[in-house]
Parts: sequence; structure tokens; C-alpha cells
Amino acid sequence: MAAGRRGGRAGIPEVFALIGAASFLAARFLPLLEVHSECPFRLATGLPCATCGMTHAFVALARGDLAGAWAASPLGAGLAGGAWLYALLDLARVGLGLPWPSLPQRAWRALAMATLSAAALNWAWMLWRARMA
Amino acid sequence: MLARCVHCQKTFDTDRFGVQSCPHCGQQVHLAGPGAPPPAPPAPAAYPPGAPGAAWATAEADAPFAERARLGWARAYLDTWKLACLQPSLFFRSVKITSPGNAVLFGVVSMTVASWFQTLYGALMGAATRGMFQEMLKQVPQGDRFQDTWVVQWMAGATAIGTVAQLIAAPFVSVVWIFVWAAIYQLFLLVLGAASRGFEATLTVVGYASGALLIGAAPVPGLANLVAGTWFIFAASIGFREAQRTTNAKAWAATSLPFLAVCLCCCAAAWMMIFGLSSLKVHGG
Repeated sequence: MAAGRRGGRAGIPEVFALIGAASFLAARFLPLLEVHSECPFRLATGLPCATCGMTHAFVALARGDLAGAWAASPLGAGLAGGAWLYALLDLARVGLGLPWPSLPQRAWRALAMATLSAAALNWAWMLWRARMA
Repeated sequence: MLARCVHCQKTFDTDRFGVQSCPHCGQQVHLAGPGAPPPAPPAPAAYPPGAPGAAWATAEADAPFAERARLGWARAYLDTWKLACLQPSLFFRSVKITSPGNAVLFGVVSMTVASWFQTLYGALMGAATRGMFQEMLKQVPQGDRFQDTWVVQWMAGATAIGTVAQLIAAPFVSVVWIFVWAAIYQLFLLVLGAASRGFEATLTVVGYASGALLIGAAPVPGLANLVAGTWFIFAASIGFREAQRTTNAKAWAATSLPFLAVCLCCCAAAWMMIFGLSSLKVHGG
């Protein structure tokens, strides 16, 4: 992840920032929720899959509805907020001409473990909530 | 001293010169001693004519696609596709990971072409369905009222605007797909301790392995995508093993775990279809 700007061309961090920004624009201005697509896992089992509620969370947060986003999917809300914050920070970093912060491999690994743990916890929470409903 | 096997490219410790077996692949290796005559030129490699050849395999080198200005787009693409999809072990072991932009562009071209063909098939099938539905409406009393309405368009499966939007969006969606999946794989590789060469290696593998998705352009909707997806997983798994210098088990685990989640949904969908069909049979009988 240590690729920054080389020779004035966009690097990997900038592409991820663009994807984050594009996800905000899509969630805010495209009628994503009008495209009805039922999750096959939910249809078959009656239970949410690991990524259920993500689109609703992104759309709700893009419209400023934090509670709605959290209710749809805590992980989705966190992912959306994180992606958009990252896009802003990276824009500021590029604007200020700062280098991409170099993290040691151990820190990246800890971050990856935290992300996967959060995903697992989120799914457990969604399953528990579906059972209680 | 440290020696490198000319067959598997792995290094091993040895204390003598001469012919000996590689402890990794078991092939015979000749280690010339100091003052020995230079070895015979290596046999021609089984690379396509445009590829950099034998030298490409023994040291890290750019993929033929990175030399598209010299080779021409079609030849550079074809040579790279053959290497990445038919000889992934050899290719990913030696491909340079410092220019992932070439890999991403390669993947985007492959996915975009496949997507355009799929859109074309969808539009053709939709047009056929639309014609059939319009004929049916003519047979129904007051069916003419529904001609050229959104109902007919919905039955056709796609509108002209939707088709054009799909064609335009394909390259952008491909870029997002490659980066997002590379990030997901990197997460698993990091957790498994198999990301020694960083995200650039992962992105390079995902980009070049995405060449396999070109198979989705074959005029067999559904089956072509299944073959393309399976081929991609194989190429990416071998690619992670070689590019990240990790073990088979870790590479396959990193590739399989995210797909298991997707498969879970697909299996549920398949189960629903089977269940639905059997229900129809019961009701019909």
C-alpha cells in the first residue's frame, strides 16, 4: 500500500480515494434503492448475509441519516464513513503535497485483522437482530 | 553458498559445485565452479514469439503488455494473456510488480470487452423476447394499449438507454472491481501473513489474472461466466503464491475465503431454484 504519487501521476491511494468519492456520489444522487434486488441468502434462509444492508447504509449516510445507516448495517455505516473520510484526507494530502504515510507490515496486518473481525462481528449482530425480530 | 535453480527459480544452500538435485523441485542443476567454461546457451523458452523470451523467465521483467508500444496492442495483449492464463506459475513468478498500472489496464481491457459482449447478448436476447411479447399482446383484447410501454421494455430485460449506460460504465466498473477485489484479497493475505511483497504484487496478480474473465465474452451466457470465474480463481491463486512468495495453502485460502461468502449466496440461490422447480412439479402433478 506504499505507492504514492510518482512523476505527477495518480497512484494507488488516489485511485482508492476516487472510488470512495464515487461511492458517495452514487449513494447520494443515484436511485440505488429503486433497483430492487433481493439477497438470495436472505430469501433462502430468512437470515441476512454478511453484506446485507450495505447499500441502504451507504444511501442513508449520504443523506445524513446516521441512525438509519447504523440500523441498516453498522459495518456499512462505518465503511461508508471511513471511505469518504479517507477520500477527503487523501485529497488534502495531495493538495498539501504530503507523502503517503508509510506503515509497517505489522500495522497493516493488525488493521486487516481488525477489519475482518469487524465484518464477523457485524454479521453476528445482524443475525442476532434478525432472530430477535 | 546460495544457488538458484534454473527450473523452479527457488534458492537453496549448497557447499559444492557440479551437478546436483534441486531440493525444491528435484530437477538436476549444474553449478559451474569458478574458472569453468561458460554454460551452453539456454534452450529456447516456450514463450510466444513476441515475449521477451528466456531472459524473461530467469529475472524479473515486464509483461509483454507493458511493451505494447513496441509489440503492438493486439500482440502484446495476446502474449500476456497466454502467459497469465496458461502459464500463471511461470508468469507471476517473474513479472515485475513495480508497475501495477499495466496489470490494471490489462484487466480493464479484458473485463470491458467481456462486458460489452455480454451486453450485446443481453440486448439481442431482450429484442427477441420483446418481439415475442409484442406478438402475444396483439392476441390479447386491448393488448395494443401496452405496446411500447415500460411493461414491454421491462419484459425485454433492457432499454436502449440501459444498454448504452452499461457499455459506457463497463470500463469504470472494471477499474473499481479490480481495485476492490485486490483490497479484499490483500486483507486475507495480510491476515494469513502472506503479503510479503505488498499491495502492488496483489494488484498486479488481480489485474493480469482478470484476463481470464475475457472468457465471459463467449456466446454461452452463464456458462462462460462460470468458466471465466473459475479460471480467474485458479490464475489468481497461483499468482498470489508466486508473486507474494508464499505457500500454496495460504494463497488458495486467501483466494477461496472471499469467494466462499459469495458461493454461500450462490448456493442459496441454486437451492431456491431447485426448491422452486420441485414445487412447480408438485403443483403441476
